[in-house]
Amino acid sequence: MNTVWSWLRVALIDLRGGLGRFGVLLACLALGVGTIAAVGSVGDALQAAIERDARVVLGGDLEARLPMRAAAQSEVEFLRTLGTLSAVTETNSRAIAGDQTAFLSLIAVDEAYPLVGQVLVTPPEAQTTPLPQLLAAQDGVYGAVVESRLLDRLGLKLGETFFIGDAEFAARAVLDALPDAAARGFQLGLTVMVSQEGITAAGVVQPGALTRFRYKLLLDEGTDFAGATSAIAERFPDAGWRTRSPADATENLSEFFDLFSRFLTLVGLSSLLVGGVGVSNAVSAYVTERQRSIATMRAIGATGARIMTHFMVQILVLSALGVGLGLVLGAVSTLLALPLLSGLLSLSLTPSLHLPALAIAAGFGILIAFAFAFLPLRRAEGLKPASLFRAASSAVEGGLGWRQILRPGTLVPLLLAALGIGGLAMLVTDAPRLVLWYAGGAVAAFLVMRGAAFVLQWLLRAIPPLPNANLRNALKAIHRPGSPAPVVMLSLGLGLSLLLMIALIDANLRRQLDSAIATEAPAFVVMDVLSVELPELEQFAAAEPRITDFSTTPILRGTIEALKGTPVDELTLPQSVAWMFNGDTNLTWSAELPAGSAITQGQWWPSDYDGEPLVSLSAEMAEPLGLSVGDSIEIALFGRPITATIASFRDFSWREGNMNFMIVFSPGLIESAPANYLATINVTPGTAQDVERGLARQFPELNFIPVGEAIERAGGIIQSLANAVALVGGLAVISGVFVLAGAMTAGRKQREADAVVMKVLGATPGDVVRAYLVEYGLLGLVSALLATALGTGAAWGIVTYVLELRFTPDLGLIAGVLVGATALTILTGMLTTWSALRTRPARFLRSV
Amino acid sequence: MDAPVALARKMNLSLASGKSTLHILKDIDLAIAPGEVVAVVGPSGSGKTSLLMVLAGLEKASSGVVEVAGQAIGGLNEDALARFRRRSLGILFQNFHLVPSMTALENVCLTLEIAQSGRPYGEIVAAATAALTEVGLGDRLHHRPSALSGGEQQRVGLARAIVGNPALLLADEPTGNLDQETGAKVIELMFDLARRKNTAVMLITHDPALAAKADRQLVMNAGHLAPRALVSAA
Repeated sequence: MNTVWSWLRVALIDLRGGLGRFGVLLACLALGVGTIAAVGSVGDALQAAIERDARVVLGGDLEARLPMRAAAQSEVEFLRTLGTLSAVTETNSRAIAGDQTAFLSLIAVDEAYPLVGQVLVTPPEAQTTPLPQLLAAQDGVYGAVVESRLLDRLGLKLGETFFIGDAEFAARAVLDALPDAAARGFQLGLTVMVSQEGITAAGVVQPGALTRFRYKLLLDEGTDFAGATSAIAERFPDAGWRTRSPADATENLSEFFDLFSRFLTLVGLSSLLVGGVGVSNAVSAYVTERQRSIATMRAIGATGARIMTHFMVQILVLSALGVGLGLVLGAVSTLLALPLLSGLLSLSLTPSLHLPALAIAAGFGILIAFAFAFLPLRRAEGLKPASLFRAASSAVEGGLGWRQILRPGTLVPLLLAALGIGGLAMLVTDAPRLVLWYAGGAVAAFLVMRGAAFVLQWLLRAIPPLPNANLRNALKAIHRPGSPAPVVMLSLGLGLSLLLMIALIDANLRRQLDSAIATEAPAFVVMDVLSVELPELEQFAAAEPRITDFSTTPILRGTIEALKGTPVDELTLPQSVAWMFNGDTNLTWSAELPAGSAITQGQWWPSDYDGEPLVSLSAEMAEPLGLSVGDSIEIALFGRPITATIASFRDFSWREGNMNFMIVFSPGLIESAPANYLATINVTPGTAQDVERGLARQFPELNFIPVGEAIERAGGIIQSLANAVALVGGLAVISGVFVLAGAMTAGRKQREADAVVMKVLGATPGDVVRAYLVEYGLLGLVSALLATALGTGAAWGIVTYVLELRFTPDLGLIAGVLVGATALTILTGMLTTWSALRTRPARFLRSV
Repeated sequence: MDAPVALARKMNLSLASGKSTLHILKDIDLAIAPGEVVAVVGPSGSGKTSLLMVLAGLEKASSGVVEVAGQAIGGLNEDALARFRRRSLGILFQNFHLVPSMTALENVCLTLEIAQSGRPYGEIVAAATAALTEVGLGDRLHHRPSALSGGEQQRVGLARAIVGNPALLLADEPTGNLDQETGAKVIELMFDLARRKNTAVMLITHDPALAAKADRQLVMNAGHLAPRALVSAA
């Protein structure tokens, strides 16, 4: 024990007074650990909230619904035998107040609502009033709890009235939060809550896809979800009841946060890995600086193990400090972020610390610090004391060779550390394949940059001496023994790759957002326009100067009966496409390939085709259903089965904003079937609300869904998430900048010494600066080219496979980041050389 | 007669330099008795420091026998050589080589903490304090090397070298970076301590006056070692 304390004591004494040199090490660790701690803590808080509030999110223990219709009285009575029941009806409608109109997401609730949780309203006196009382009719006017934006849109104050359908409603309270908002997902229209009596009086409930009848149950004791589901199915086998549990309600939410969390963890880990390079550079510089002390200790009898322990203790103590700072940073960030996210995501997130996430972040930090400090410390361990007897200006000893790295004593601890890091990453992301791909990519990046330095040095060594002395010496400086070129290229290359990866991911996220909002998406979509109504609507559109585009698509509803001759009832349908087989599905016919589509298999029919029925299906249907071009599909239209042959599969993205259908028939037979129409309307920017008023006035029976406005609101949420990515990315960028700064510091003392000697020998400052520019310009250029490939590749992988978006390389951005970052780092390095040039040689030489 | 503290027989040292080989030490025969002070003189580049490095286990002889304090050091690995040094040797460097972040006391303690790591810390401090007091630095215990003059730093180096009572003290040009007067004082101290502790000394120097103070002088010339006839003082 005495021995151990002795070793620790000596190591800590030796650390005194030298903490300033470890600024980069501390910063790199703190930023990386802080990022991972914050991401992990916020992710844990989100998941905990989802699990804790799952019943609240669903609104009960079970939610049952029927496609297309409300429950019959006998069905309602049966449901009541299972527990306490609350019936909720959701539909879209329109509110009208004088000249003003607004598209609504209308929720009608009964007196039992909410079974779990609380509806939050303003003002405070409304909060203390029972909800049924708030919504009840008073003097023929029903109550409504409304989103504050509705009051703005209709120009109303609280207490004033508006119409929905045939009924008049008074806005008695402003809706702050619904307990089940998170599970409702994104809604078209402004939210208004009324009573079931109110919606009946309004006369706006229409059985069909736009109205959803939900029955929430608080199950009686002794009844569980599975039992209740079976009982309903057994009692009403043909009704088509669908049930979902609290876990089902939160599944999508959970998966989305998982994905986001996973992505941000990878960004944080990238930051820490690149920060590890900063740690390695700092420790290498420290070992170089302490070479004489190390040799002295060896000369007076310290073994290699003692040297390793001595310096490892110092590095681990410093790393613990860096990790500690990172944990504080992560904890503070979490406490600040949770309240902000709470409002954004309609989840209750109280500021709290999540110790497992912090512990994992600390684990990452310590393992990274160990892994990146180990090789420089192995070099320290191997330093021979004979150097004490050599002249002071003797060559500095270089790094470990490959043979030494591959020795078990060196390789095994590194592998163990790598396994530890990989294991932690798998634990956090729960995605082993992703971690393996990431690890492969990270190792490849390191090997590429290290290998590139080796190849560059070898090439420069091989070329004959250049005639120009400055150029010749500058290139020699890159390949001479002890040159910092490998360190600089590794640091510069990885730092730039990280910067570029973050910038491209951010750009791609925002591009997806922009493309969804502004130009392509229509301002309005009109569903179910009858063929008799269409001519008048077309006339209106033609006469209204603010309408810039008006297009229609026939829409029919059919039921898929059989695939490849096998009835659908006999098939096992994959989850991803099962929804298409629940009742009617929308389809259309078209002579031309719909805009925004691309054929992936088969061929589109000629525009004048008039033969046997053909269909073009969404490419998403091919693999899950095992369908190919030439297979048959039977669809019942108005009770009449039509067998069509699959002519092609199409790829299209809803995000492109074009109207598209999973099933498109060829022209011919289908054209004669009675169809409604779906219309899309685009307007001059800024005129959407005025046009909406005019349309609502002229066509009160039609539903104009303000898609553009809805996408804009969705965009607001996505914008916030993109900002969260940018924030995490920003921390990673700062870490990368520290590493770049550290890289330029590497070899700084040698550069200073060389500059002074050159001055003594008669070189002008211009000669020195020119030589430096050539040396670091070449290193920067090669590093930047490789960083382009690495950073772009990493961004492509993450955007395509983790975020599942389309990746677009932005050449301007790539060039900007690379040129800017390279110029900045070379400039920083030049400043240190400049300071050496200004030093008087005598002063420098006396201090050697 | 006691066994020699340091013994070399037909010892050769050759080092590769690029594509050629430099034969630095040639058929060295040497024996240093316990408590004896031997000076090795010779021009720069003659091999004096290389001889010291072989005896210290810092270079491996290419052939021949090297024994120090009864230990044949030719076949030892680096860690074994380190343990050998901590048990049997003290080294005094021309450039002092104190650890800059440690005080004078801590620098001297370092030797004992390495060699006797199981010894109670209080005892280590007491021994180091005594060693520094012996070299006249009892009032400079807590000063770092940057606060000490060259002579004081070398005295710290001396205290560090002999605090462990080594069998052999190797001194490589110990006064090379000191003025004459200071150098003389350090050498006097060194000889005095060595004689009192019965520590043999091998002193590398190019100063004839300093060499004359030794019990025996050897001359290194182009890798060959030979005795120098002693000239009695007038």
